[in-house]
Amino acid sequence: MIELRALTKSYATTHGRHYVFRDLSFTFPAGANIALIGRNGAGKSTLLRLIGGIETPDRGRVVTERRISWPVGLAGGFQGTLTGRDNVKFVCRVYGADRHDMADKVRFVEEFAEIGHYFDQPVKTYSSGMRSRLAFGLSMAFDFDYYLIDEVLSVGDAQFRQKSKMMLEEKLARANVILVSHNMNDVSRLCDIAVLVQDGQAILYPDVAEGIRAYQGGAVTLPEGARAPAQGDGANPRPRQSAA
Amino acid sequence: MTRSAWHIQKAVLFALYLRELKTRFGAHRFGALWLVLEPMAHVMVMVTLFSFIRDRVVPGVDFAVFLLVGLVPFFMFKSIAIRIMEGVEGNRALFSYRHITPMDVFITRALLEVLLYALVYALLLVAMGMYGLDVRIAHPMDALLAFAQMALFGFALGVVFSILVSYLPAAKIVIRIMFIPLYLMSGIIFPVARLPHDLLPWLLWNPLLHATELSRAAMFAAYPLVPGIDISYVPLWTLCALFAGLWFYRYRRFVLVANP
Repeated sequence: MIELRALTKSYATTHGRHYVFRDLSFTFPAGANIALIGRNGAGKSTLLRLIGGIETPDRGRVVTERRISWPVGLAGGFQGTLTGRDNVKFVCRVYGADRHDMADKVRFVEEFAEIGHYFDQPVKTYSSGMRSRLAFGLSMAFDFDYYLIDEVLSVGDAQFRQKSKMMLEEKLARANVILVSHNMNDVSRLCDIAVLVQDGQAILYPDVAEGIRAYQGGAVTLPEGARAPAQGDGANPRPRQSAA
Repeated sequence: MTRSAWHIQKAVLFALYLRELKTRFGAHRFGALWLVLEPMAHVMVMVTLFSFIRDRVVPGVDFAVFLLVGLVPFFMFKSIAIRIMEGVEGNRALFSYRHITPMDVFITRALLEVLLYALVYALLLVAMGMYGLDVRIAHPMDALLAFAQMALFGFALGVVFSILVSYLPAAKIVIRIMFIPLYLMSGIIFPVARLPHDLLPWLLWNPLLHATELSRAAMFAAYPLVPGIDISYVPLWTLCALFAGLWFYRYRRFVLVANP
């Protein structure tokens, strides 16, 4: 379970402070694959990064006991002058892999990425496709409870895409995913529930299809039995809301 | 399996340390050798150059050793401050891994510079000793203290610079240039005692002069210490810089890691 507690996140812009979320409280149900959907700029990626601990809220907390990945397929996290192997080792060390564990993971990434002798060449000599292969392989080498995916499901050629898809599905047998995507096929294929991010609110749709309809329809129609969680906790509903 | 905070901290610092080391190896063909040779060559060129221009400046002290004791700690100080200043930019992509913070990068870079320059220092002292110069350290503990003072001051200033640069990227150029007059005014290539005495009160504002003079006093038994040198002056600067640096770091740490 991942819980957002009174989360506020803003950015300074030239036109003053822009609030992405204001006092957003929300609970992601445990054991579900979650899609974050919404228009560009609605704050999906920001929410993903907040959950991943990459960005920190101005106020409020993200509370969870689960292990959460870095954004899957993050190709920017490599040091160009180091080899693919050294970059993989670096992440292994940060995530506390011991010697034996590290050898396994390095071998896994080497085999999965299929970039041949380039694995021992500096990353700056890679093509963008090779970088993506390395990045995706690296993400899959680690066991997390939640994998964060921001629009990078389709990298590489057809064969690699197929392989990545199967790998991810294998992972999802034991783990969950939080997916930001505009590709509704991916959303309905991978996810159990949808969370529509709109106007600084998060609205839970226990049925993905319904969430997609609400998103594509443009107007927010609350699902039956669901509530806009930002407007109050179920245990203590605010009286003013029922009066409205 | 959850790791303790200390465990994670250790893992992150170790990983970053190896990464910095390898990154610096990889940039040059000589690799590991170059890492030590580069600062060593720098010091050696300066020592050779200035030794020819003037020989004995302080009685009883070999000028080459005199220079070395001034140059190495100063270069270390400069290197630490500048590498910390540029640490965020060079490692921005890393902060997507949630355990890694800018402070980890700062600490790693400072540590690496300290170790490198300590090695260079030791190697050159031994080399000069074999050449026949007098390299006995008169007060080893004081020498160690002076070296540590320099390192800590470099670290504190580096943190301040990194914050400054995050507000104002152009400041980087000014800071780099600033090291040139600082170099000349810190008594590194000539003894300050030689300068007109009415200049001294002004020069004494410079903490690096204090640090340099203290390094020399620790090295040479009968070193004529400039009056007004205060052993607590550099620590005071360090404390102020650290306070300011860490204070702003606390507020800026998220801006530092954000993608531009």
